[in-house]
Amino acid sequence: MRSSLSVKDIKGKLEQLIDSIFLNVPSGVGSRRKDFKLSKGDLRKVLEKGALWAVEHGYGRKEDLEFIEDNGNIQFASPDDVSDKAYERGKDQLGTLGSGNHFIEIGYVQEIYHNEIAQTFGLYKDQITIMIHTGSRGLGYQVCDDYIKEMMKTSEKYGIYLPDRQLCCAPLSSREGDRYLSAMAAAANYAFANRQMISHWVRESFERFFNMGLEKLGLNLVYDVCHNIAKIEWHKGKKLCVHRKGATRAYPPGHKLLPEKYRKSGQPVLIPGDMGRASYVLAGTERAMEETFGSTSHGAGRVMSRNEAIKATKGRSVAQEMESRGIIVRAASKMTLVEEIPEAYKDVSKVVQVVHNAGISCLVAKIIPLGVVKG
Amino acid sequence: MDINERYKIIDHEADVGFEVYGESLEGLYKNATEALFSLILERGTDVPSEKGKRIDLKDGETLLVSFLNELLYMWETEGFIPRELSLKVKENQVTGSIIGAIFDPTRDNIIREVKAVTYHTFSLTCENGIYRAKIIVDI
Repeated sequence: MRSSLSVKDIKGKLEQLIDSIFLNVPSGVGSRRKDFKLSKGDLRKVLEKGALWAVEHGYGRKEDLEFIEDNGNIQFASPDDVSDKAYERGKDQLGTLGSGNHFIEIGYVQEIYHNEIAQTFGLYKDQITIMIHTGSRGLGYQVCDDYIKEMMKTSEKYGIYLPDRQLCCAPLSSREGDRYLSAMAAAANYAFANRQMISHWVRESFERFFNMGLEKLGLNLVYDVCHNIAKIEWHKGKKLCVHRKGATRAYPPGHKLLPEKYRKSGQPVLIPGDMGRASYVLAGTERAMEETFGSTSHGAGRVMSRNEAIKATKGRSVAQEMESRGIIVRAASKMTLVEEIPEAYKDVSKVVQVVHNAGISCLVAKIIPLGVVKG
Repeated sequence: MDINERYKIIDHEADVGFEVYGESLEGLYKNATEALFSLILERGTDVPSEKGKRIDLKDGETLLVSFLNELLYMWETEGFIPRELSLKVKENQVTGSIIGAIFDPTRDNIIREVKAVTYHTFSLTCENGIYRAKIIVDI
């Protein structure tokens, strides 16, 4: 999300603002909003409608939907293909951030690389931005586990050699393949609704904190994009299944699936870095369509294992270190902070240079973190 | 391997894993449960309320992964923390009961969220009467 606030507007207030978001958005393991409960029937609707369900129930605005990949609603989702166990795991977790690498980050635009596209995205120097990174939570993990069990059998049935069990699969044209795609799409819809609800609570925190309305705060969605999903798409005249894992869609200018506002610029591409250095906004390119099926990198990727990060931080206070760098961090678990230390990740600035130089996305803006909420 | 070693946490690029040992399949399952929950939380010592669970799972050679995912499901949906396992493990079936406690934030300290127990590089072998399994969990 972008805002109409600038760095000077939140100077000296950041700590309180981050605290208020930390309280308003459930972030740690097992955390949930006490004022929010879902019946199984409601959850079915979430899986069918995605972000639209959230908007219909007062979370965010109708205008947001235009700026979400697939308008936040994958049509071929089937709630019937999602197990009872997945429903059970999902019912209390909608609207929660989760731990691991999931985060809410308040940052500011430090540098603009492409003025025209930045203007189209509504981004400018010193502007406050908010980035939210989370997904389908336990419901998605359960869908994965349920279908892995099934796919291990189907791989054998279709004579598919598996170098590793986790790579089990089925032909897309098979009944099993079709059911999995429908269940995965339902999980994706859950993720769209989840982010939409969290966005709403972040907006609410800003409104209360600054005692200003949404219009004045200018908290508008730049884009919401998936980074772990298989989609049926057309490329070079062929209907394909494009699986973006640790990758994100990067559609070029002129693509018919982009909102009117971004038809000339290409799709906003978000590449988050680590909590201490930077994140980037890029734009999709024609070259990505030619070379990578309209895809680009999703993030920096780890360079240190979690154990190495734990060893490297022995005797250090990560939160204090971040604070001395001017970044306020709140985390439900200390271990999450330790495992997510900036040096555990590759330098995202180098990663985006590679992506930009390869021509599969075009650099638009650099965002520096100011405050981070982690699970 | 130290004869008394029940499990050891192993490195993985983006996730975490453990190698677990047991002198019987039942012992292996018990130690794997302990390894998994050592990644999730630090249990408090004072456990006043206890709860029992029945287990009856059938699966092929990845039965141990299914069992651990079942425990993860109980943890995530009910906050169930297993403590005492009384299991019978045959080749394709695990049955029995588990006694444990329900998570209490004033007593137990959460370390991290485990998304799933995976099948990635999973192995289970038996050599000289010692069972050994390798498991990677998705963080």
